[in-house]
Amino acid sequence: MKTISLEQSVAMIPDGASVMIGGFMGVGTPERVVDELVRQGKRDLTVIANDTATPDKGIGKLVVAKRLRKAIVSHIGLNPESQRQLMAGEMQVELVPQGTLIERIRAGGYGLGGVLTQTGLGTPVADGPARRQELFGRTRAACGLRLGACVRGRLSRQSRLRAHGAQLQPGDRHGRRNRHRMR
Amino acid sequence: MEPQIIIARRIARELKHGMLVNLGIGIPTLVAHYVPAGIHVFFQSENGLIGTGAPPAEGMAHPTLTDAGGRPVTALPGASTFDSAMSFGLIRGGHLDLTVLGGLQVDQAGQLANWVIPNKMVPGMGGAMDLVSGAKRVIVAMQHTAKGKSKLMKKCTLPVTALRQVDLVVTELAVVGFPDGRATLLETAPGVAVKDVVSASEAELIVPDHVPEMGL
Repeated sequence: MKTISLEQSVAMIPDGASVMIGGFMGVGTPERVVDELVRQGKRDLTVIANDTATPDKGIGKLVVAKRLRKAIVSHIGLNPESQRQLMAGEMQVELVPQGTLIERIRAGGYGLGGVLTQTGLGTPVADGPARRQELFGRTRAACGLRLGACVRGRLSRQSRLRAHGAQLQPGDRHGRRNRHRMR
Repeated sequence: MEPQIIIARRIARELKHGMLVNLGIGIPTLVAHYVPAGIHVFFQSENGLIGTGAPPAEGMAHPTLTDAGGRPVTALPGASTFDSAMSFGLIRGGHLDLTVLGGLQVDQAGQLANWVIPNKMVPGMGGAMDLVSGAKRVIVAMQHTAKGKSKLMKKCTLPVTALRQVDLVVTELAVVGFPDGRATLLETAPGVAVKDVVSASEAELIVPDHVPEMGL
């Protein structure tokens, strides 16, 4: 088995990368990796995670060190610094319902076009980056399906759902880039 | 009795044996203390646990065994842990019997706002939108007024959490339901008169001839 050091592995993550980080309110977050990201001065990161934890924990430490350009998360309420940076326009925050966030990650990872959900209908998240789309040429009402914020797919000319949730899977994209680099 | 306790005790009476229940942060969490004798329910928390037990004794907290608010909990015998996809599959797929959430506003059409105060407080929706859209039954636990203003509105002024109408609102003054889609006064708290509830509500409540007193 080949192993590399923490320093080496974090060094492979470029500035501006999108990084998907586990953990729920900091519980389960790989703290050493986060610390190393801060230590190596990584910047302009986009983090995809459940939340921004608290200022002293997990992803919160990246927020406090001002290393995030954008956070795609479901909750920032326990980290006042996230709120402050959002209000001050220092960090972009894309708030996504927790279930929609995890389905976007799951569908993206599996290579699925998207998932139908009623979560978010009637709220700004249904009008956000994920648009309400017609599915197979029928309107939502006609086909009885209500498309919510989870649908990131779009009907292509070949009548198939094409995943265009690319911004959702940048972790994957960078993973590919890194694999390429290692070759 | 403190307002929060009245609300939690009344909501606990809605629990039925075998239910899978999600309790939000704040007043909803208190509901777990008042589960009626002989009733066993399963508490789910969004971070991936069914079988959530009481908070641990001092010194017994496990760093990774927490509720969705990050506070230490215990896991009862038979508890199950799982990932977020499973957790929200349960919530969004209609497998959760009941969710109890806090509210900033509920209007007379039964719509709930509880996730944002634009430009002022932007905590994020967390799991609230999924819970309100997906659970079989939605109960809102909130105080009737905030800073003297009714939280039971004609129409929500804050962005709503979901299109779905909530099933029940329990405050320290009253229980309000939505039969026929309109806010209806179902019960009043002990010592509270119907007119007190009506005057404390911005929403136009339908008041039946007989309004029973809340059982606690």
